[in-house]
Amino acid sequence: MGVFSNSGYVSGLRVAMLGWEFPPFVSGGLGTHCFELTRALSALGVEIDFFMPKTSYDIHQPWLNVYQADWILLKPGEMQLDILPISYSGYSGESTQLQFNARRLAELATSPGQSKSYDLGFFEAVGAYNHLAALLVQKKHCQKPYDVVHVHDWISAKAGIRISARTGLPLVSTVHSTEYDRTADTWPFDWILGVEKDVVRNSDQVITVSKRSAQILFDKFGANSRKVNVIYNAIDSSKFPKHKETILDSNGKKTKIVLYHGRLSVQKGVEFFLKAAQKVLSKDPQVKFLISGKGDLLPKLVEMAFDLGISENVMFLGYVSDDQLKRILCTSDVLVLPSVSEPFGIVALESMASGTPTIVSKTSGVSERVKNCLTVDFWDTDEMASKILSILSYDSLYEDMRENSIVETESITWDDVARQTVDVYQKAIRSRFAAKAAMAMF
Amino acid sequence: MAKVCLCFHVHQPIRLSRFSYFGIGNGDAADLDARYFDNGMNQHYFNKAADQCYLPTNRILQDLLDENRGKFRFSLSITGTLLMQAKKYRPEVIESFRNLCATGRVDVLDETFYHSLSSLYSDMSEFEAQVRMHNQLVRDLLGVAPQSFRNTEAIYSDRIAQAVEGLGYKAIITEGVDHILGWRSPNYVYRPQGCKDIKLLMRNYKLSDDVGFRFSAKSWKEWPLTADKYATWLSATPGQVINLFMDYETFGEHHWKDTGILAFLSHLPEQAHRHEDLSFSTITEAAQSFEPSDTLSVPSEISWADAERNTSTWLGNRIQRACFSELESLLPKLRKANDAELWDVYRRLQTSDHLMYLSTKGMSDREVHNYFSPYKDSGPYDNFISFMNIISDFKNQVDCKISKAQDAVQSESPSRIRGN
Repeated sequence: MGVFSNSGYVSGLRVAMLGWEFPPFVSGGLGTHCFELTRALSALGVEIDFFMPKTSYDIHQPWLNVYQADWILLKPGEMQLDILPISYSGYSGESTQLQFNARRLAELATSPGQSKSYDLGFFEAVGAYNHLAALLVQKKHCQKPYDVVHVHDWISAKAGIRISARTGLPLVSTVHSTEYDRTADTWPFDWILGVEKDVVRNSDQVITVSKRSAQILFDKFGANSRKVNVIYNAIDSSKFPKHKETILDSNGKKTKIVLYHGRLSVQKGVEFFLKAAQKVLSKDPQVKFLISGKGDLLPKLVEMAFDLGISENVMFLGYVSDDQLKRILCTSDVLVLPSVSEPFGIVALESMASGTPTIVSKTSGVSERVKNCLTVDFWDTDEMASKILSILSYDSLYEDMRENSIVETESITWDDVARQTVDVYQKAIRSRFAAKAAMAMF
Repeated sequence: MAKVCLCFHVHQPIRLSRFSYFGIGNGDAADLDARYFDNGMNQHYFNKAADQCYLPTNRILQDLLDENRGKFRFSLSITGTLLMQAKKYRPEVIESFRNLCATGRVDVLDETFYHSLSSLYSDMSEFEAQVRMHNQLVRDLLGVAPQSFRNTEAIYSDRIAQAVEGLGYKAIITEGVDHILGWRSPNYVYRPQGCKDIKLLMRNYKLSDDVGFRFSAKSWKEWPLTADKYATWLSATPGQVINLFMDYETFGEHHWKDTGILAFLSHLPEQAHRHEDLSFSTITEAAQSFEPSDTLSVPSEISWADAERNTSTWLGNRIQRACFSELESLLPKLRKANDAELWDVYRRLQTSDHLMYLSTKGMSDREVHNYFSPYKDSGPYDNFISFMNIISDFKNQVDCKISKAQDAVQSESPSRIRGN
């Protein structure tokens, strides 16, 4: 196993990390997180094999090995369909689905050795990925042992639990969000909740991205507080341009722009953003509101903007890439993160890194981490509007927030995240040793 | 023989309400006191400080004055905003301060009534007006006439010293800032640059902070600090005057009663008197007893606040400077409106605490500078928004008053002409 030193540098610590995304294959913040975290861990001397689903991208980075779990990586006879990781429980309506999944997987498994993309439904794909990744990690572990297995979110949880049970490797899981957050506590999907609960229970150490997120694990999953660690997300500030660009209106006046960026879902509180927009416009009818991102709430939001009589001042941008977001931030005067329930909210760090004054809801994890933003209750649209108007009206506030946001985000680094993560690995390894030693005594 | 000058800073701001951008009106509001000030919060804080500090500490000081028959003396620096709130919420606090003063052995220092930064305005007349108001208030409520001066948070410069000398004061006290004193000691009397008569006393921050900041710090190597040990330190301190200037709330609020702080205070005179080389004195008496040993030049402002010992606690960032200059620029309008209620509100808005709550010092390393802020769940930006919204609304109130007055003059004029 790895050697830990006081300076935080570790040599030879080997980690099998499992995640659903890795750039350029990204759909949310998880991919960026894995990219930055592994790079910083590697700088501390950690060796990382990263296991992700099969994608159409060829993914290579110098600081880690990326394995896309694919049939071709497994030889015939290594497929063990008797221990399919998919085990639905407590959700009766899913039983037929389960049989279907099992059958499809069985069909796929009859032709191992060929590269295949997951031509499956989402849950089947997750099941297949977990199954394959678990086998692959075990195989690699036999060749050259790992010290820790680290999984991100429920989506790679089953594999982590399997690997840990089979190999005795300590399991570390990062819970980036829970099903309660993603559904704003309305209609959470029981099966996913079950997986989340399972991985928290089976992990030697759990990482959450905020205290509020840790609290959900205590309250809803009965997690043991001794094994839950809060490690906030970080930002590579250098990737964000700090200058501002002005867009002039037809009268040659600067257009004031307020931005929302994120998924359009109930969890994100975009409706409150629109209600606040209406109030802002009652005082300053020239302000423009940009809503970037996609999601199932889009039709409802478009309709709502129309009903509020503000559709002329609200623009829906649809999907916006990371590079486009950086440009949009340069032209924005305020970013609002109005989330009802947000484990972290990395867009707030991105906004601050670009020097855009930022307002976040008190129910976001990022509000615990940063000081140079304003906070509001997501439902208090009067206060949200008052704060937006204040930033737009008072230059001194805009300038101080802008300057201090940039300074603050420069100190929120992935190097710190990596150091804290190594501490968690150490704890996980120690607790396994302690458990083994205790077992040996009896 | 060194004179020990104990001086207590007694202050409470009149705290502001939270004020939304949507609250900014067009200027015809009634009852500005209720509109801008959180009097429920003010009463709460005042009662707390009165019960934990003012009344019990005054009782100890009264006993010490009575027991030591002339040998125990000290100075008080009490702000107008405190006295006004005491009058409103707890008149017995005024009574107990008045009794201390009645012994004739307590010196009250003057300052600006509102604990404001008006000494930094380019036009000094507002500063002088607030000092005169304070002087009158102390005479009225405490029955003594101040002769020495302490500016808000010990903010000091040659310019301020000259203005204070112009008002006829005998002494002024400020912080014994290292870079001003250089090789010199704070324990002597000085003369401000450009002044002829007034004397300058310097606070001994090390010995003051031993009590004010460090008294209850168990990690401090001198903990626990006893009156006996402290008196020995005083006796071993070379010089003529040792100015121990501390926040009155040191006693019972910043250090709770169970730290032994009140017992420390009540034993200090008897322990000090065991040293023949120590005697107590007021600021005014000490200034009169010694001739200046040197002239000190302080071209730019110093204060006793923060590590920087300058005005950056109140004017360190843009949001603070914006509020400060908005307020300063309102002065001509207030004169034009000439309305007693507006003057009172205007001056209460100038209290330096409102600006201190906007300090962003140490924000990037997450060490927030808001120990004294009553708005615990909000930071400097929130405090700014609320304060600036109030200033914006107040500006509209002043403008409204001015235009109403002009309308009245205009509508009156024709009838006068007819009358003539």
